[in-house]
Amino acid sequence: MFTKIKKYIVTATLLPLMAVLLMQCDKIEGPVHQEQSSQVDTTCSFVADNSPVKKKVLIEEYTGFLCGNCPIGSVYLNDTLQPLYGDSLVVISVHAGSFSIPCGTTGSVCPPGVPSGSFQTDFKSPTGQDWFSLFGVNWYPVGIVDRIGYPNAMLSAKTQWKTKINNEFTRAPEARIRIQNTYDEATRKLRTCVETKFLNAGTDTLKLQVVLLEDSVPDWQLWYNHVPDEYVNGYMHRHILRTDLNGSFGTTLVSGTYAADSTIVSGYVSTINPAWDADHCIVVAFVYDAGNYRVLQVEDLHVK
Amino acid sequence: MKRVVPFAFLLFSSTLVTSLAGAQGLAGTPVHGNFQFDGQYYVPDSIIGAPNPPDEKFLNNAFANFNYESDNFLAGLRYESYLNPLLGFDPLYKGSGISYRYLTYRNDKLEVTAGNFYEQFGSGLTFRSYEERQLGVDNAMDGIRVRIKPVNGVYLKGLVGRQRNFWTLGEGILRGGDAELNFNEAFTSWNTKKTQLIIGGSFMSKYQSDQNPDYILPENVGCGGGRISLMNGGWTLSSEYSHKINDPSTINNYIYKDGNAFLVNLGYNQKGFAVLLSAKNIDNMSYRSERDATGNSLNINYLPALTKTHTYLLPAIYPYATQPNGEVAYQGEVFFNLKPNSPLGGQYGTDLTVNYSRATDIYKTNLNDSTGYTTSFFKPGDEVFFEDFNVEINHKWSKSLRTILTYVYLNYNKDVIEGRDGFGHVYSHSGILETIWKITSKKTLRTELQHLYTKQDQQSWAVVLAEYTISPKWSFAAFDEYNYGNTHTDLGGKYDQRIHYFTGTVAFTNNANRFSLGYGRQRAGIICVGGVCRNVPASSGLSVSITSSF
Amino acid sequence: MKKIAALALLLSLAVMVRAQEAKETLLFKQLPAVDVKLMNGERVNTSTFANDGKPIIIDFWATWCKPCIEELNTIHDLYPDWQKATGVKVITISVDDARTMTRVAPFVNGKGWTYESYVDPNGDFKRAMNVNMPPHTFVLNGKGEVIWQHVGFAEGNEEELYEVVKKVAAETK
Repeated sequence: MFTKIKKYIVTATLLPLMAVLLMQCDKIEGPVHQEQSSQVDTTCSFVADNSPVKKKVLIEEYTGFLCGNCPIGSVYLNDTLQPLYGDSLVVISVHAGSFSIPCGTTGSVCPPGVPSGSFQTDFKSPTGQDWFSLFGVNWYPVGIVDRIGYPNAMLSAKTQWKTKINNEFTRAPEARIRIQNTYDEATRKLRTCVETKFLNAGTDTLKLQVVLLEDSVPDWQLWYNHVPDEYVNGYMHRHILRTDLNGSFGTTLVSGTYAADSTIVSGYVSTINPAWDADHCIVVAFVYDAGNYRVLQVEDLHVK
Repeated sequence: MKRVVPFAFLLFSSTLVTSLAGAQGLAGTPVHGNFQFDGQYYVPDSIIGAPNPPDEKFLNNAFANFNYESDNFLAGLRYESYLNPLLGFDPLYKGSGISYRYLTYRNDKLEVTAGNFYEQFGSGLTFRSYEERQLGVDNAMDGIRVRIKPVNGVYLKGLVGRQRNFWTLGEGILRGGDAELNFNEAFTSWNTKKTQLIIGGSFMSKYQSDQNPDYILPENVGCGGGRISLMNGGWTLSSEYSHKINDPSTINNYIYKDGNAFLVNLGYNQKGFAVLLSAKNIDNMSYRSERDATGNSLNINYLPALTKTHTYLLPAIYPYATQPNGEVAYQGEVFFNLKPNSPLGGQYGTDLTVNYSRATDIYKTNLNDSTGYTTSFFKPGDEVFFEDFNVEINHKWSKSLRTILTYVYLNYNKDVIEGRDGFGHVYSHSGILETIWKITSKKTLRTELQHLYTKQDQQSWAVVLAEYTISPKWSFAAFDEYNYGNTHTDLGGKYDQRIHYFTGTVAFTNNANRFSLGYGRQRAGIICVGGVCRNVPASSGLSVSITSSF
Repeated sequence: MKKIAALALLLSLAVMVRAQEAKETLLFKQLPAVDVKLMNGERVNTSTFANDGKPIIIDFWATWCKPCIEELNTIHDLYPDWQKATGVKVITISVDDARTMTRVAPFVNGKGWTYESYVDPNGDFKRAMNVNMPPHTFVLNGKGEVIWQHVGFAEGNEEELYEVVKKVAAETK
């Protein structure tokens, strides 16, 4: 009789565990297709051009307006590193995680004593949150250069950025990316064409990621030890990642063997959010390895 | 997915093997081990600021150790699986595999280990490689270690290797050694002396190449020191000192100043009474395998906090962690055991403990050059980091009733300890009454009533906890952590942070196997180390925990 | 695939729970030989733990572990009776690390415990005995074999522990 009771107790406690483990089911109730914020455009065409290709490097900076230690990183990136490399360095500033949650929203890490009405803008984007989760960003400020070092050695401190960028510039360019933007003020419709040309033959799965940034947005920023005040209003936020044009992780360009000089043209039509200033919007496109996320080449172009 | 199946199979087969071995009483199979699985199923809970649980919904940490031991030969391995790691654990743990494996040969005088090992020199001020699985800390060495006992009383250690960094190894190559001499064991003239004397010295050096275009960085950074321990009757005196040469890093903001750490303990104890006094001075002693490592990664040494670890929920809201860049700390503690039938002892006796600790920064004179600053030995600065005064009275009223009454005063410098700004100091007073009532010989009810009063931060909290145990197998517990004093209001003027963090758990223990299920809410936490910040989000859900030793 | 994994997990749990019972099984033929320290820093190898053929209780605890302190307090009240009847010796191993290790000696003496006390500062013995979390208690028989273990403590557990010790003492007579 006691073994029966024991068996019953064991099953009683196992059932909830079973329920927990088997509950990993996301039942999808239609619609099945992802709502695309942008649509594919097949009318793009590019004129032939044989000018030399130079290698450009991508650096993603993970930050937040309530991250008091972050401005030191951003200022170094924008005022020291960017002028050093010119347009060969492409910067994306990703606002993700708890330090980007506006004050007053639950989960915010707002210190007491912030000026009322401050830190209300939400600079987060679903794209940025997806990258933040995948790359395991868990401290700030963090820079990821050309997405090298996946999965454990991607996150770099400010003191490592220059070394890593220099290392990336020693590589020969592997692809050429060209962008064309056509923007209609009245409808706020943006037509982006991207041409990717692989300079050498190879075998791999390579993806193209196209994103939209908004540059030079004045807003609040917490800046530890800043004089005269740590709550800086009118701080110039640069290169803010706003959205993607082809999914959080882009679309596959090639999967398998490809020849030298093979070219693929992609086109997207999207509408720029009325809250964003189209004069300061930039399209960034980069090609990366689907297996280890390494960025082969990057290019950017202003919308207007 | 590919990894879960082999892991599940491994688990299944290991438990089958060990249960068979146990049930049939096979003559002590030489393979032993343990296993732990912690999983949590997260549910959306917008009240605590967690409206979006992680995409995976179910996160878990698990590990299994297998060890083989014979007279001269030891071997073992550990398999860890974080698919994906629980919230609050570093996401870099994502993955699974064999994270620890070793082979050891030993005889009377010599022991050699190849593979992974843990080791500590003295108190760890120069070197400590250890694991604290519940906190996600593991800086295991991967390399070679030799321990030699050439003559009585002399203990020598040498090692070379690199440290674990989640699923990879730190860049730095570590090499070091330790020597310890126990006078009473080594010298016949000391064999019968009442005084016991042990002295030791250790040295560690790390190599990391300099690829930095802006700085000329030292590639070999050495750290070394000595220690002494003296004991006579009820008196003990122990002290350790460690010095590190220039080591610019992210944690110390790339300054070239040397670092040093000093620790001293003086104690007197006899039956029923003990006193302990400790003091510590830390100056620029963050020492890691990689210059740019932060958080819990790649620490070579261990700088202990000189404060009491509080296990009650409310005082544990404000824990202290050593500030490696500079700290002066003191601690004093007195234990009394008031004997049974003495005036204050009552019929069964009372234990009384009084403890005080204080940590401040060091006095720094800033230099506008690469050295950073200068300071003097044991010179405190003006800023108080932490202060803790607590009293505990543990009294047994009868064979079936015991109470523990505790008072804790904390001064917590939230800005420095959490690495942020704008929060200032948190001053709190806590009172806790714990009652243990043995209802019958097998059934016990333990209750806790806690109250934390503070005007800063999230203001006041109260906790009510009850734990009912049926010896030896069952335990049921429920507690509510209520932030009743929070005056934060939402846009409508309503108090929106007065939240109940309620949790209920059931646990079943059978010898060395424990299985528990819990459901509830967890508070958020935030921490910043060396100019770099992390956040642990609030969460809600069902948690499962299984541990076993075999 | 997911379901197979979940099933395997449940199955192993069931096997584990049903197989182990509160009876004697041989866990270790002899104690792993590891260096631990006396509270004054002196090294002692665990292979020297002996009690003249009588039972030994080895108890892993820490100054920050409340159930551990409860267990040792409870046993302390009964220790004289237990020693008289069975000759058992209690050996306590503290897993406090450098942060709390200096508190061990004052703590033990302050409470007036009369156990043989050691510290295991870097967890070497704890790892060798496969201890996950304190409290974790082992019983050794007269031959030095480890024949019983238990994790956690609740008032009343000391009775089960004493039953095992009595059984061991009777066997070795």
